[in-house]
Parts: sequence; structure tokens; C-alpha cells
Amino acid sequence: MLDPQMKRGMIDACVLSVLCRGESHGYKIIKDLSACMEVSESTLYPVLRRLETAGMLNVHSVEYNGRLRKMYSITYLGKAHLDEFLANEDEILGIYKFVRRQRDE
Amino acid sequence: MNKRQFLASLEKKLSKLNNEERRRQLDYYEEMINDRIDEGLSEEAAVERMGTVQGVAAKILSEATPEQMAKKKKIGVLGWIGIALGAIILIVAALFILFMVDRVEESGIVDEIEDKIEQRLELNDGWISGGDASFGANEVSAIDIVWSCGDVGILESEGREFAVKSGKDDAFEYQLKDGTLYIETVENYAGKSDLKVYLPEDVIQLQSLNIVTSGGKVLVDEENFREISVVSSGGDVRVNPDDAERISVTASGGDVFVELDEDDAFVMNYAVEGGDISVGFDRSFVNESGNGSFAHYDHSLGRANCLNLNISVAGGDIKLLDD
Repeated sequence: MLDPQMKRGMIDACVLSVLCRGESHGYKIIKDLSACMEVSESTLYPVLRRLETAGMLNVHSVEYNGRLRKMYSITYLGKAHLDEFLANEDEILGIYKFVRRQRDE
Repeated sequence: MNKRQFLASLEKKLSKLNNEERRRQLDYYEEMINDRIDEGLSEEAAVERMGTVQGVAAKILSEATPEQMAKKKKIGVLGWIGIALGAIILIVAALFILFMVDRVEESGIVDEIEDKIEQRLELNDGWISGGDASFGANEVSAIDIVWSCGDVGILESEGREFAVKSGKDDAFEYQLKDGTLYIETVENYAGKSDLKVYLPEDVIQLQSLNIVTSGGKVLVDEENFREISVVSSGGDVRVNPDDAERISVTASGGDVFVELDEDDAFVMNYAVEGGDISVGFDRSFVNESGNGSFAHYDHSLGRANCLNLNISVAGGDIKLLDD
């Protein structure tokens, strides 16, 4: 299983990417994420709060079925963060290759 | 567990968070539960999906940032230490004038107040803002009030719960800890608001009632406390002792009325300065001022089950009367 510190940065990126398709609410985000990783309600909440505090997503309340539901949408800052995250892909793969080669040679 | 129970239970465990963050967390979990119910889960199953209240609370608190935690309360000049010490200083000064040093030390008033200060500091993180505060008949065994913005009334009701009501909701904060209901005026509250605590109709015997107040009247019209203690400055105090074993009233600047008639068995130790004592059912007892003891019980039954009354007043009268 992924190291918790790494996983945190990863979950942030996953959540932001899901929001690129349009605004969404907590429960739906969990469901959409399940294709990639299992995230519980109590794990998701601090992620949403952190991203909101960092200005990477916006929250507003919307009426649904007679109750208020929080809707999250990605911001410009959030999209920039995703670009940065993806830009690291080559570097990260390079590191994995290096570690494997060092160990197995 | 149903949704309401889960959220109520979670709310209590999140007392360390500040009010806004706690509200957000509860809204979030309520939404998650509702979403699952919409999907077809039963309420019980949806709540179960969240995990245990203990587990959820622990996770929340472990992830909370310092900004999300409740601010440490500082006891300000207008805070309750000011009230308590103010009242005590007046009383002590008055009693010293009467050369009653011994009595004051014996009565342990100062020690009691010091203990209370320690106890209160431990409550710092747990306060919940006033509003709709009610508790089940079995949840409360003692009440502890510090009030500085109006009158205090402990009253009976025909309800089934303990209910705390204040003229202005934002005047008070409360917490229930280990069976004691603590209520106090919000620090630096500038307005005027009276506090009323209603006891349930079928209340079982409660251990203690402690009130420290300044600038308002006190009325204790509920009879189910074993011990009652009132420290008051600047207003009248009325107590209906009925089943109590010990009552202690320290007052300055107001009269003390205790509802007693000739059928009640009691021993009263009193100290009065600048006022006098009258006993409604015994007109022969006339005492201008000073200290002493007045006993009224059936000598054949002995003092054992007597009510013990300790009343110290400066600048007011003591009246034992049958309302």
C-alpha cells in the first residue's frame, strides 16, 4: 500500500482531476475516485478542506431534495497544481527506474 | 444507531474544535449519510458505513489544524474570577470588621473558590455556545453556574428534560461533563440576559447546585438538590431548601430569603453585617446583627437529619419565611 505521505499528495491530485469534469459533491467524488483508489468519507473531508484553504477549489451550497448539499468546483489555482503534478510524471518514473536498476543489478 | 444519535454523539466528541469547524464536520457527515440513504441504504446501514463515532472523531481531531481548534479561553477582568473574588472580598472585609476571622477561615470559602478556579480552567476547551440546550433527565446530576449578566432562576417544569433558557441565546455557553452541567455567561458579554434552568418534572435527586453570580437576583425554586451553594453580590437570593442537606449562601448587597417554616428541622449558622435576621415563625427571635447559630429541630430526634444552613450576608437581611 502507498506510503501515507505520498498518498496524500496523490489523493489531492485525484480529487482535483475528478473536478475537471465539472463541479461535484462529496459522495459522488468518492464514487468517481473508486476507479483509482478507495477513499473513505473521513479521509476525503480533510482533503477537501485542505484544497479549499489552499484556494484550489471553491465550495457553494446547492439545494437538493429539500436539503443543502455542498458542491465543489476546481479553480484556476487547482488546475495549475494539476499541471505541476503531471509535469512530475517523467521525473517520478525516472526515479522508479533508477531504484529498480540499482537494486536488481 | 440512527442518524440523529450518530451526529449528536459525534458533536459531543468534537468539543475541542471551534464552533465553525465542528458545524462543518457535522454538516459533512450528515450529507454523506443522506446521500447513502438516497442511494437506497437504510438509515442504520448508512450510519454504519461512516464507522464508529469514536473512530470518526479520532480521525477528525488527528487531522485538525490549530486554526480549527477552539480558542483557549482567557479569564478576563469581567470574567467569573472577578465576580467570585469581588463577592468574597466584600464578605471577607465585612466579616473581618466584625472580628470573625476564625469563622471565615473555618468556613473554607477561600479554599472552595480556589478549587473552583482550578476546575474551571480544565473546562476551557469544552464550551458549547448557547442556544437550544436540553438534556435528558438522567444525564445531569449537578449544576454549576457562573452568571454575570442578569438574574438566575432554577425552576421546576412539567417537561421531561433539563432545559437551559436565556433571554439572549448568545449570552451563555455550556457543557455537560461527568454529569455536571456547567453554564456561564460568555466572556465580555455586554448585554443583560436572565438565565433560567428548568428541571424535569420527575427529576431524581441531584447532588449539588453551585451558583456564583454578580449583579442579579437568584431564585432557587426547585427542591431536589442535596447541596446548594450560592455566592452572590448585588442581588437578592431566594432559596427553597425542602430536601436539601446543606445550604450555603454568601451574599453581599442583597437580602437572603430561605423558605422555612416551623415544621422544618434545621440548624443555621449565620453572619450578618449591616442587616438583620428575622425568622417568620418565631417572632421572639430578634437579632440585630452579628454572628451566631439558630437551631430549630425536635430535640428528641436530634440534629442528625437536620438541614445545615450557613448564611453570610453583608449589607442585607436574612429572612426565614414561609412564602
